Order: sequence, then structure tokens, then C-alpha cells
Amino acid sequence: MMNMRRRPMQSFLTVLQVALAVACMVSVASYRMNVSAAVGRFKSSTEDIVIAMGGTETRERDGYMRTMYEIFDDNDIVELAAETSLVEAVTPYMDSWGVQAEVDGTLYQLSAGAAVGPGYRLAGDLNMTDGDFITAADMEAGARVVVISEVLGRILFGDRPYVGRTLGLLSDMVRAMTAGGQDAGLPISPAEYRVIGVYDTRAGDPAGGWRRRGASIVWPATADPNRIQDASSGWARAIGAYPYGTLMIKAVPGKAAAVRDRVAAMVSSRPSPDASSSGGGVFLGGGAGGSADMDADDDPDAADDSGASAGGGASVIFESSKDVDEMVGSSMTMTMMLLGGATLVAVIVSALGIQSVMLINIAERAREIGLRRVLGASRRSVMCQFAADSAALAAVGGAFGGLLSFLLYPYFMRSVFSRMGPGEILKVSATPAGWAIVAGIVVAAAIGAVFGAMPAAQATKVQPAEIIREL
Amino acid sequence: MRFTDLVSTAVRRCRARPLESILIVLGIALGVAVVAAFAGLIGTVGARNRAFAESLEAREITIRPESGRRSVGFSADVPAVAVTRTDGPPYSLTLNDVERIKSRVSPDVKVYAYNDSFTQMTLQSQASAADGASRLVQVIAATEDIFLAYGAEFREGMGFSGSDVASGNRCIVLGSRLASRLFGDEPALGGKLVWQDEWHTGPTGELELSPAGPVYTVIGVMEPVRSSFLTEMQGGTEDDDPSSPDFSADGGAYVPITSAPGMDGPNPRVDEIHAASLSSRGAAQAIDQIRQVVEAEYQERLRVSSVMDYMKESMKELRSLAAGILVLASAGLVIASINVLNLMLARVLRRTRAIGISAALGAGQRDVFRETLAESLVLGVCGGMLGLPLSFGLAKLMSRITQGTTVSLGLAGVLAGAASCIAASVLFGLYPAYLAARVVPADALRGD
Repeated sequence: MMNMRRRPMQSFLTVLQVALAVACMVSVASYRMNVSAAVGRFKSSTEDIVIAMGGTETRERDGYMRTMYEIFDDNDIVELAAETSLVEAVTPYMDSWGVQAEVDGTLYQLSAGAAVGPGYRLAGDLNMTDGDFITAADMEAGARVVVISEVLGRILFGDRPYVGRTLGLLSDMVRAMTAGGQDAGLPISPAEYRVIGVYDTRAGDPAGGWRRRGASIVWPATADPNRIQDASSGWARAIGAYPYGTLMIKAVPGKAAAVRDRVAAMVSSRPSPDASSSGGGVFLGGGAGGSADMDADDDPDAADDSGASAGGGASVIFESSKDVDEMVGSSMTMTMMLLGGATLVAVIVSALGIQSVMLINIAERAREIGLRRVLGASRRSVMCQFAADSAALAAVGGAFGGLLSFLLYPYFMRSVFSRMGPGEILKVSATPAGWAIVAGIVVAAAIGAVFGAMPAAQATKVQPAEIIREL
Repeated sequence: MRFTDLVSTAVRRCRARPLESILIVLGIALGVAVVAAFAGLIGTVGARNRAFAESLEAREITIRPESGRRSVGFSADVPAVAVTRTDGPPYSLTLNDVERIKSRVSPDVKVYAYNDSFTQMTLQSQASAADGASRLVQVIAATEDIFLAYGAEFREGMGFSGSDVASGNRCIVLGSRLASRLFGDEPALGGKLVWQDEWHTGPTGELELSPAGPVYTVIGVMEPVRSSFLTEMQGGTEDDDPSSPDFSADGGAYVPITSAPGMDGPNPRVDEIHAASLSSRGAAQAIDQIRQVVEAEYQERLRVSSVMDYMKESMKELRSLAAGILVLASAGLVIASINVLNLMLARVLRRTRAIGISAALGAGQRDVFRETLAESLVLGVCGGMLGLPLSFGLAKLMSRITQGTTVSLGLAGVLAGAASCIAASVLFGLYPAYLAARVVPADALRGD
């Protein structure tokens, strides 16, 4: 420390350069660690959720071709719900992007709705802030009720309370069909729905609503505006023997695999429905690109298994969060190689700087080294002294770098990380990771010690006698 | 003191302390290499964007009926709900509207109707090798000005004219790539193509491919449309799958709008009106002009859009991303510069006595200043000379990492590298040089 103060300018500059390098290192490392943490949170929040869709799936060159059909009915839900050792909650779950809501004469396009059952409250992990959720009685009666998110409530109605308000729901799909494919006019009138509950979409939502985006408004699966509109016209989707295409099942922790087996076994004896009767093929682009709009989290293994085992019978496609790893991995690799590479260079340059400063220092203190050697100090102890010196200097730099990273990391987060890789999708923490800071300081100190000791080792090779002669 | 003397003195001084000089030079080299390589990466992406900004697709302006939907609540922190509002039925565009808009814009903005559809086109039996060839084609039913807007030149024949549009002649103009796919090397002119409505409901109630529709005579084949970005993008894929349509201008076919099936009425319905300036330079004015005309004539019933609107947004995003990456990439160089400063300060300090002597012997402050500055400049230039070759290697490595993007340093990278090493060494050499120049001989000689 004394040595540091003797040359304030030199020490300051060294600390500054080390601080810069460490700040970059901590920022990039923090990003890596925070992404891993976000992925972990996302996975742990969804690993017990099983999404089962009736249909088959084939891998195309750059995505999946899915043929979907409806294969589940209310008996399946009762049957699955009874398996309390495997299943915590089960609900029909049909995403809907094409429903419009009319409130006070204004139409809103709702891009995120779902037809669900009472089990969705638990399976979807909803945090109810007002009113009640859809009940079994609502399901039975096909009651025209909806539960909406706080955000949607604010947009549709403005001020609270939202419970008790009414809105008209109208299916875009149905509308398009009646208009002959042209988006012209509104020949049919919306059906009136009553708001019975409000939930908070963002509470306890580690993935920033990735999956829960699909549920900013939910209605009973038996009162789906995509189906109930005027069934006398040919275009309305008739409810067949199996009304539900997709089930969402919240498995007992650790039992997700068993639940998948159970569901696959349940439908395998059923005849494969005519796929073209409901929906037809849906092409899903490659998931690795990481577009937030795509369901990139399908599990090809599970799908292949069930598809193969069906043998003419109905089959099920399962979605799971397994592929999040793959997706995050592929887009992370590039980001980390580019940014990590740049950071590595910064650290190397910083190390070179430490070494040259120590060279200068030692050249100036050659006399002192010689004197100490003559007085009996071992080479080792002299080296240790210099190593400690530069390690201390670098550690101070590292500490400042840790502080600096609190400024740099948010900047990089805004400008770079959020636009490259999975930062776009996952909710990644906005503060640097504590461990990264600790690691930064330790690495800085270690580099300081090594690169400080190297010139000292050089200097102490000289025989003490020679040094004294020069004195 | 001559410049060469300055440099040779500086080099000698650096060589007197080889190890520390090498370390500093290495640091600069690494810093410069990274800055140059990243500048190259950013330059590469930027060049691609500029190429797009000059393309036909970027010039093209789309006017379509306001569907009555306007976004009223879509923001980053509410990804769950994209909410739009509908007010009444949309305006119905017709050929008359094309004339109406056309008559109100300046003649160097071309306005044309644009109904595109994907249609199965079959080559009608002729004693030709390619007989019966059938493929899914993007057919654009348009008015004659589309060829002017595209800057089209014709390999065979010519485009259809205003009178073809007026009379609804069943004539067709082929993009260069479509022509060679349908006709191979044989002349296309005069060939007959059958427009099949892709699907229709057959007698059994099943959907089936229509057997035949109107027959079109080829009257022209375009040369490749030069400024089309899509052509470039799709040009690489030479796999000729007849069921996957080519979206580019060269893969499409063009017919008079009045000749398309169902369009034979006196005032046919138009899906979209397109407009394009003749050159990319006039693109910004063209869109302003179109916006004004549409605002004055149609108020809110029509919506004017251009890819450039989105491009501007994404360019802004990209700039901020580039700035962030450059900040991170330049960290190494900044650190190297600080090290130059540190080193030069130490050297000046060490040489105080020598400087004092030379000052006492008559060396001016200017000379001392220049001498010291030259030394840091030599360090910087050496670093740059070492770093630039290194950056070419880095750029290769980056191309491999980013996959698909071929990062070339380009002028931007080389200039950024050279400028940054010189700027860094000069900037950070100034203060030590200033200190050296201020040495008072008496003090320097008295001390130590």
C-alpha cells in the first residue's frame, strides 16, 4: 500500500485500467450467469406443466409441420384429475389469437386469449386480484363469462372495478369466414360476456410471461367464442365427440414424464380423427431463431415417441420447456464468443499493462532489491513482495471495476444484451451478478500477482554482488 | 529537428527498454485488432442495410384501405395484448383511385395497381420441350406504370401498355427467372400460359385444382430487375421447386389488372395501390408526396406504408446495438492507451535529468515536446501495424462465429483501426509530452 501511494499517478492509472477490464468482464460474466438463472427459473416454473395436443408432428427442413386435431373430452379431465398422485390440476387450454372484444362500441383485437376450464387457475398459476375464477358450474352451463388480466382491464375499461363489466366477444376466424375471406364489415354481432374475475399476469412470472402471454383473457372452453356463434351456419366449428384439442396439466413435482405416458396411453386406443376436419396443418418455423412470437418450446423427442407408438390410433404432441436450453444455448454461444472474446482481449491488455508497470517499478527499485538480497532476503521473499504489491493494486482495480459494472452492465443490457440472444425473451436480471463481481476481483488479483511476479523473478536473477558493485 | 530524426530517436528510446515497449505495443495491437474487427462487423451489417435502402423494395410505397384497425395499446411491457380498434367497414379501392392518385403526384413518382395472387400457371401444349410445365407463380395484376417503377428492361418483347389495361387483354409479362424456368432456353414470346385458379370446390364437394382458366399470351420477358433486394436474396437458392413460389420481381409474372379472372368489370377492385420513385434518391420525397395526397383526398380511409418506416426503426435499434458493442470492443484499446500514458509518464520522470541537460544545452520546449510525443506515436503506430493484420484473422474468426455473415474488414474496419491507434497514442501521449516540455533545467539538474 505504501508503494502504491508513493507513485499516486502511476497507481491511479493502473487501478483505472484494471477497473475497466474487470468492469467489462463482470458485465459479460454477469449476463451469462443471469441468463442461466433466468433459464433455471423459467424451467423450474414450467417443468411440471404438461401441454398435450392432439395431433402429429413431422420435422421439416427448418421447422415442424403439425397436424392438429381434437382428441380430449370432459371424461379425460375427470380421469386425469382423479390421479392425484400424478396430477395437481388439469384444464382444457386452447390458445386464441383472433378474438375481438367490443366495449362501448369500440372493437379491440385481443391477441392473447384462451379457452380453459376451472383447473386453469391452478395450472396457469394465476394470481387472482379480484372476483372469482371460472367454476365447474360455469363450465357445465357454458356460461358466457371471462376472467381478464389487470393490464387488459386497464386497456378495455380504464378504471376499476373490472368485475361485473360486460364486453362483446367476436371470433376473428368466424368473422373472416362469414366475410368470404375479406375483412369487410361485420355481418354478425358479438356475444356478450361478463367479467367475473381479474388476475395479475406478471406476478410470479419468471419468464416475463412467455407462456402466460397466452392468457390475458380466458373464458370457459364450453363458451368459446370461436365456436358458439350461430351453430346453424356451416362455418361454425361443431363440437364433436372430443371437444378439446389441448390439455394443460400441472403435474405433481417430478411426475411430468409419468403424466405424459398416462396421457399418451389414454388416447392411443382412440381412432385417429380426420385431421382436415379441424384446423389442418400448422407450420412452425425453426425455434432456434428465438422469435418471441413462436412457441419454440416443443419437445421433438416426446413428439416422435408418441407419434410412432400411435400405430394408426390418435397421437399426442407434448410441449415442454426442455428445448429452452437448446435455444438459449445456440443463441448464447454466438453472443458469448463475440462479447467474451472482446472482454478476454481487454483483460489480456490489462495484464500486459500491469506487467509493464511492474517492469518500470522494478527497474527503478533495482537498488532496493539488491540491498535486500544482500541483507539476506531470499529471491522468494522479494518476488512475494512484488507479487503482493501488484496483486493489491490489481485487487483495488478489481473492486473499482465491480462498482463500475453497476453502471456498465445496465448500459450493455439496454444496448447489446437485450438485442442479442435470449435476453430478448427471458426476463434477465438488470443488476450484475454478485458472484461475477467476486470472481472479477479474484481474477484481477491473481493476474496482478502473476504478472507482477514475472518481472520480479527476472530482476532477482541478477547476482546481489553485481548490484552492489553498481551501487 | 526533422521528422525522420524525431522518429529514429523515438525508436531508439523504445528499443532501449525493449520489454516494456513490446508489452505496450502488444496491448495496442490487441486493442486495435478487436476494434477494427468489430468495426468491420458493424460495417458489414450497415452495408447490407444500405443496400436494402437503395433497393426497389425499399422504394416501393403501399397504399391500402385502412382496415379500420389502429393500434391503441401495444408496448414492450405489455407483450400480452396487442389491441387494435375497428371503426366501420373499410374503404373499397378501385382502378379509379389509381388514376385519382396518379393525377395528383409528380410524374417521377409512378403509381400503379397491385393485386398479387399465387396462382398455378401451366404452359399450354405447344411443340416444346417444356410442354405442360406447371408451377406456382406470384402473379401481379397491375397497371402499366409498374414497369417504369421497376426500371424494367426487356429481353424479349415489351411490357403491356395502357391500352392493354383499358381493353383487358390477356397478355402476360414474365420475370427473367420465371421465363427460364418455364421455357428453358427457348424463346418465350408468344407462348401460352393457362391461369388456373389454385383450388375450387369440385362436384363432389372436395377442393380440387381447377382444370383450366383464362389463357395468357406472353408478350414480354424482363431482364433481371437490377435493384431488387429479394432477387439477390433468392438468387442464391437455385433449387427449382415448382410448388414454392419465388417472391422476387424476377420470379413473378405480370398481367393487366383488367385481364385477371373476376376483374373484367368497368372499374375493378384493387387490393393495393403501389407507388415508387424512379430512383432511391427521390424515395423520401415520394412517400411525403403520397402521404399528402392520400391525406387530402382520402383522409384516414387509406393507409400509406413503406418498408422504410420499419427500416428506420430497426436502423435506430441497430445503431444503439452497434454503439454498445463498440464500447465493449474498444475497452481493450482504452486500457492499452492508459498503459501508454502510464509508460510515457514513467519514462519522462526517469529522464527528467536528461531532459534538463538537453534543455540546458539549448533544446527548446517544442523540441522536447515533439520528441516525447513522437515516442508514444511510434508505440501506437507499431501497435497498429501489428494489430491490423491480426484483425483480418479476427474478422475470419467472426465470420465463422456469426455463421452466414461474412465479416469483411472493409475500409471502415481498416480506417477505424488505423485511426484509433494513432488517436489513442497521440491523445494519451500529450500529457507526458507536456510534462517533459515543462521541465526546468535548473530544477532537474539540482534534484537527485
